[in-house]
Amino acid sequence: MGLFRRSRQGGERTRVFFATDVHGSERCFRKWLNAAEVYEAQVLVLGGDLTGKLLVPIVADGGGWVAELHGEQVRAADDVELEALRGRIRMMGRYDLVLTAEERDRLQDPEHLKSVFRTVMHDGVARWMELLTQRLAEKDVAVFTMLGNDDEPELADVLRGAGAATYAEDGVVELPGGYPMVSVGFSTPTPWQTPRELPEDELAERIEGLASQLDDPARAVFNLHCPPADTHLDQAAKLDGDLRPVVDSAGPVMTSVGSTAVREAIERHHPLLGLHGHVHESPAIQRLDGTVCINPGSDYGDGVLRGAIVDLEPDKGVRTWQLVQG
Amino acid sequence: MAGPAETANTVAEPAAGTFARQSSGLVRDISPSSNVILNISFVSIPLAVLVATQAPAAFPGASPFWVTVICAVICIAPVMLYSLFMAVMPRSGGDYVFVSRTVHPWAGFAANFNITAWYLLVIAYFGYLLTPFGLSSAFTTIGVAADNDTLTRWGADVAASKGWQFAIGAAALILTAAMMSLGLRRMLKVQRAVFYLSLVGVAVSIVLLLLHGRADFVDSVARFGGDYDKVIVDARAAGYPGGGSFDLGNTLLAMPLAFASFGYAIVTSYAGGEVRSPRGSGRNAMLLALGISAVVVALLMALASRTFGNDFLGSATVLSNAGDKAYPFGAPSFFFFFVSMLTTSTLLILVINISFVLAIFVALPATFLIATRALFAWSFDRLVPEKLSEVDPRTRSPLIANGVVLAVTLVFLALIVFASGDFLAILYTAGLAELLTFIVVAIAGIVFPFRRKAMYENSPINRRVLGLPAITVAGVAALAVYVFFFISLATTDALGANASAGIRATVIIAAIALALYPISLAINRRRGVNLGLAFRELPPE
Repeated sequence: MGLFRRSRQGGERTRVFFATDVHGSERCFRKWLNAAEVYEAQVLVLGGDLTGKLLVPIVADGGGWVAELHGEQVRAADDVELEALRGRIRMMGRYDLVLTAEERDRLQDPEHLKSVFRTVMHDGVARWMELLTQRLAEKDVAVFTMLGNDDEPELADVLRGAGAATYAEDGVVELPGGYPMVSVGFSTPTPWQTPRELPEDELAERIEGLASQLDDPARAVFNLHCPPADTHLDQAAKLDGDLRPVVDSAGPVMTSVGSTAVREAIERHHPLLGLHGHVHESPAIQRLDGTVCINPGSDYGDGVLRGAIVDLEPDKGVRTWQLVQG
Repeated sequence: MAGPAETANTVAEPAAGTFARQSSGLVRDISPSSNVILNISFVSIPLAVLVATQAPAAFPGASPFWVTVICAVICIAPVMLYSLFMAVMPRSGGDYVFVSRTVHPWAGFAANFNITAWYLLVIAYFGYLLTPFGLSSAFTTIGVAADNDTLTRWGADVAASKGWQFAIGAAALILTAAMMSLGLRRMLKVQRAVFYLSLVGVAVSIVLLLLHGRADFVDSVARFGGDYDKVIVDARAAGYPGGGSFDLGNTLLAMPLAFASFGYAIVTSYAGGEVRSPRGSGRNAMLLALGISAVVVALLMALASRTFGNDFLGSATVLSNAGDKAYPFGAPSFFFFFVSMLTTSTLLILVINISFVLAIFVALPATFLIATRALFAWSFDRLVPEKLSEVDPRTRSPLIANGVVLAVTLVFLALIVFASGDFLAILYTAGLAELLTFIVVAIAGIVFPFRRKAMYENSPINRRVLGLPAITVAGVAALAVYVFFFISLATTDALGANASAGIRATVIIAAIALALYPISLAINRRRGVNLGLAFRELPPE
């Protein structure tokens, strides 16, 4: 779909639905596909971190299959039950993989596990993009996708191949209504050394490289996966050296994990809207120097699609915003 | 790598059966000791000892020991309910999130508004308690121990002075708000140290009570200018029937006094929900914290009964509460005051009395945080003005939310201190009013597996007990507990919760809570925002 073929559907108001960090949850992704219709949105944005983190082996076992969910063994006796089990695992935001006991044991090898994850992530995203095209190609909705820091870089090509969506990170794209959107899915370094991380100065450079192309930054949307530092949007549990949350007598100690580069870019360019994710436990909205910055958070593990509905208008900018849990 | 937990929102898997890749958010579980300490800090042991004096006074024959034990046991049901909810919706906000998602956002907001409003009153009460039960007790005991009449007089003066009560309470509230605005992280560090110090006073109390029997205490009373037997006789003359012999009925009736501490073992769900605890460790920590707190408080209660005698505790409290001239001490009747009478060491007296003051300083910021977080959550959901979640660009603190909480609590403190006794009576209704919220949560627990079927079936709490979903069973048990306490508080005059002023306040706050949501709905609709969409489930097909 060519982006600029889309006109200003729905008159002056452009309604954007933004969700992020679905992390392999089939349930959340399908909900996102249906969101444009339910929320009457003209624009769908998926803000990165599409791929899952966990893999549940379904092991062939004496004529049937067995998997472990929430510490309990779940058996599938025939093909119908196997499909139901696979569907249940996907809905929970995990990858399912049918294999033998020997193949399961091989997953203990970190390099082999990495390779298996690459395959299931690729297949999962490819399947989602097919579904996206089937569902949205004929709909009057502009769709934008992007990778996050947890997604392997090579998956960008899979997203680019989706006919009904625009890969947002390839340059400044324009939303219906004429609002330019700058997108960067990288995050600052994390303790987990995820695939798409950049130091603050390089992240700043990347954002600046796109922002400098804007004629009127005040009409722009900054779709930056990492939230601005020291805000309501970037509060995560502080971890000790053993990756355990630090707790005191008032609860887990929360700390800022956002990006100063993102914050400075917003404070320098004053865009209309900042769309962020990355920190699941920090759903919030905060104005930074007049820019409405939103992190809808993520509850993908519960199959709940957290998102933000934002109405843009030429004269008012961000007319309204609303966090939803669909 | 296998078997990690994750920050927020994801289901942590057991060590076997699942493989994880290197990705952000994968963290280990909170250490068991930290988890237990976190939960114990919400069951404030120094505050729970109020049962020792208030139970035998209000319910002659009630055993503080059995009040503690029975109450702690039945509070297992609410702990189970909240821990199950936390396992499926690991999000700070407690009832607001549970009820909004399960029943309706209107019910969730009303329930949360109700309990937050009463928490604000409780914050003010914490400020008020500092003077009579902290400073007065400390001055009096140190004055007697050091033979310093000035200190002893100060003890009596500050207890009687409304000006001091307000000034010290207001200073504590302003200090809390200022530190939360200027250095939250530093304050939380201080709070942890304060929490441990407060437990030192409890430990010293246990040792003193173990070392000293009734005869020593009788001597101590004499040293403080009183007469042990005369206190009992005077209380009889004032109408107190005597609390020496055990009365099971009155013991059960007194349980709401202990529920004020143990019933709040679930408060972690408001503050500790950002990190999901896998494999039931969160639930175990809550239960262990409840158990440890109950054992410590029960031990204190048993020792108090042995050393002070329930008859004396009831008699002294009746005289003290009534302001009877026959009450022989400068400081009000209070557990830590009586314990500190057992020693002449100024240092130990300080430690014991400070433990109560410190316990208040542990509870103050924690409750303050719960209130401000509620304001943020409502603001993010557009139920209250956006201003309430604004962050000051210079301090990067939510000054407006902190200011609102401070202003409201200062007004409440002034009303507690200076208004007629009616306002203090309203405070006694807090327990009853907060139960309204707990009851809604219990109902949400009962219906959760049926109203949010998909979420329940794919959750780690998808377990059955007696053929029913475990959370439904826990909800029914918690509802029974909450209804029991609600009826107790509503029908037992001695608890003071059913005073007409308190009931009026309960109805007014509940009505405001219920009215605000539709008002907000209408205001937002005019702006083009449909709040009805906030929790509408999208089709997952």
